[in-house]
Amino acid sequence: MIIFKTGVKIIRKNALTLSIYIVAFLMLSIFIDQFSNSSSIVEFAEIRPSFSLINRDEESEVISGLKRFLTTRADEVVLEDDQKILIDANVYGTSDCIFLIPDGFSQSVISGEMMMLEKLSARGSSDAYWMSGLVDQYLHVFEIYHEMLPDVEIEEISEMVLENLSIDAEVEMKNTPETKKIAFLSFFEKLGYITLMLMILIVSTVMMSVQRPELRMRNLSSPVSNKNQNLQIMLCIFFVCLVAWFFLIVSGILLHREALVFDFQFLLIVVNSFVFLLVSIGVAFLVSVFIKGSSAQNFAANIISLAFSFLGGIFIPLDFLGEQVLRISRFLPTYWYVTVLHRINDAGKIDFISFLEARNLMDIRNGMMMQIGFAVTFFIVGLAVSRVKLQTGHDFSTIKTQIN
Amino acid sequence: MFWQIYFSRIKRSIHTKDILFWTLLFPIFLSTMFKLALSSLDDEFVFSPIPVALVEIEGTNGQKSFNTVVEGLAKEGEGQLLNLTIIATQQEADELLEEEEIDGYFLYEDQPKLIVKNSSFSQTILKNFLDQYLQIIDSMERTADVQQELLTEDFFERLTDMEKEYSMERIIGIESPSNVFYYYLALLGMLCMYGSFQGLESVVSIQANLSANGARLTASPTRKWKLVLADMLGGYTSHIFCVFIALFYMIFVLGIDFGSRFIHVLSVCLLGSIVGVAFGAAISCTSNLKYSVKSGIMVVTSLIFSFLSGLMISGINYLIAKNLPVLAWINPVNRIADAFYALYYYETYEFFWMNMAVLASMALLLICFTSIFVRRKSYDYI
Repeated sequence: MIIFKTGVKIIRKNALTLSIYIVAFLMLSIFIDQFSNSSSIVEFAEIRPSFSLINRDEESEVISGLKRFLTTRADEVVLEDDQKILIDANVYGTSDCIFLIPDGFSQSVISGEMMMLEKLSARGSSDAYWMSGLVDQYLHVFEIYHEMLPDVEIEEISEMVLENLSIDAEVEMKNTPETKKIAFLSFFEKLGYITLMLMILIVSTVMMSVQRPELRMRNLSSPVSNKNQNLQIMLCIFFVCLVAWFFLIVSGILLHREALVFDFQFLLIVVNSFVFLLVSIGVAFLVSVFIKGSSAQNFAANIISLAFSFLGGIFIPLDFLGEQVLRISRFLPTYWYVTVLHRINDAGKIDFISFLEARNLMDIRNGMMMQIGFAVTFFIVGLAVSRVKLQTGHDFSTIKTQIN
Repeated sequence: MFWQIYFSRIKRSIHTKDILFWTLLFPIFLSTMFKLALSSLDDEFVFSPIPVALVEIEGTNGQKSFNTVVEGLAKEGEGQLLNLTIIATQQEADELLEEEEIDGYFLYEDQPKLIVKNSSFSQTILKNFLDQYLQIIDSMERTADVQQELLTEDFFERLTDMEKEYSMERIIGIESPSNVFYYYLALLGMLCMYGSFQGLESVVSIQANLSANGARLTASPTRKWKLVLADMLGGYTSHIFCVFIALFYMIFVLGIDFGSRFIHVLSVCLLGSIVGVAFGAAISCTSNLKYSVKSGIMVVTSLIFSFLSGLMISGINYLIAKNLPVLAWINPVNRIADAFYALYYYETYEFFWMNMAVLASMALLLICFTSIFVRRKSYDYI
């Protein structure tokens, strides 16, 4: 197993460069965790966007009534009336919708010619759309009540409106096993990116060394068969990739040990990650057939991993990608990895039998099969290209030997 | 001699594939990915009818009224809120819900009720519709108690007419907020920081213990400061050229709008690139690690800075600025991105000049640091 051991030695020599990427990834994961939260959904809860009311009018029952209503349906973010603060809150989504109440607004309500509020929101924000709807709802009912009952005091109308709008419909959450938003879901999503990048770096490092023309010529004249040599190289690659992947998984488990439950759902997530490891090795193998130097190695690792990650839903949620982009994404293995991961998360408590038999879990099974299909395809194409290059003598064409 | 080194450095940069990749091809590729992946985020929010079922069981007048209202909201046309399926039994509805073919279903017992499986935007809209239905019924009952004669057709129409808007969109600052713009700013910041490769190249090429070229230059009679300055200036020139190409690609090919203060945008690129080159020189002159390891450190450091500036996760820079302001202020990519941000959104230049001052200080500090380490080096052996 000399070739196997040599491959491992090659990786050990380059361990520092590889470990930089791993350490950076783990540091970023720890950082992301500080800003993400996990929640457990067992009963129905309406979405609660955030809003701010910047009152440029005097305090009045109309405005305080509006605020009281909005706080029952959304979360208030108190902001100063300063342009920079408002712009930042708007741009970064601290407040989904900021309402500016103009001077004279309360008086306009009483007089029956209600002024328009001004709102600041980010383009395309569904939360801002929803907030706007809530404000319209309150002011609409207030306006009608005030019109129909002109003799009634504003305070009383405000109370009537609030009482009316507090009527809540009954909602039942049906048959839901405890659905956890897995705390480490984000970690496993980003794991897809680092897995792909690392595997390309590892596989190409080994392949670049063993594919050196002088080395190949020497090995071809050795008593160890070509098949045996290739098998050892494959075993070495697989072994090193498995160790790297295992290290990442263990790191993830240690980072999230408090939120972890070792159930079948978690096992499925790890299995999904392992399947994606196979895909990454396949991609790496195909790519490494074309890589000739360390600069090309860097190009390939970064370009491929970032392209797959951006278009596959790792960095940008799939819900945010346009329909045309999704059509391209479906041809990428990262799309299926992320889809299966989210599907496992949404499925809640599952066991081995339901995983095999349940119709609504077919997505998970199909997604994993798609990834295996990708892995096999990449590997076969890589083998084919490598064989064509060998047969055309392309690999040896630039050799300068002493005989020449 | 100065200009000879300067021009040969530019030629060397053009022929170094590593540098060309990181400073030209990679940002162009990444900005194209952003454009493809993020193009729909700033689109106007378009509401799609929600798939819902109605369990139609023979019942009271109240139920018939409710059914009529629901069917009205499912009528095809501009105001369609629901994509309705009428079901005979609750069991069928449960099956559709389980298979996620509907987001929820309505069931009328004493009052209409909503049954769902998840809590999300669709389910919230369905609940809100049901709330409003019950609230309208309550309004009519109250009005009937107070003044029966007010219960007219017109009153009912006014109650149910939700078309009127009570707020209008306003833009403060120069431009309206965009969900995606900051990604491009962070990318430009990262691109400026990739000048660190040029800095690395310059230091390696003039240090005798790191390259044969360095050994030759060290033995030459030309002053060290001239060699360093010429080499770094050549590297900086190549880098800024790549930055401008990438910037113009984003503006003219991808159609990204960086605002009307174009001269200021260019000045940020110029100063940011100085910080990048100086950063690379400062890092590489302090250690004797292999070139590939130093290069790896540059890549990872730039990626970390860029990540903390919001390149991969939107809004993280804001969270850091709020919770860890020191980290935000010492991150050069964040400063560069914020300088662009200030130009795009703020009417005044105060925040812009603050960021430029911080960047200028960083550049000065790093250049001083590099010159201390690079000057007057002698070697017992190489």
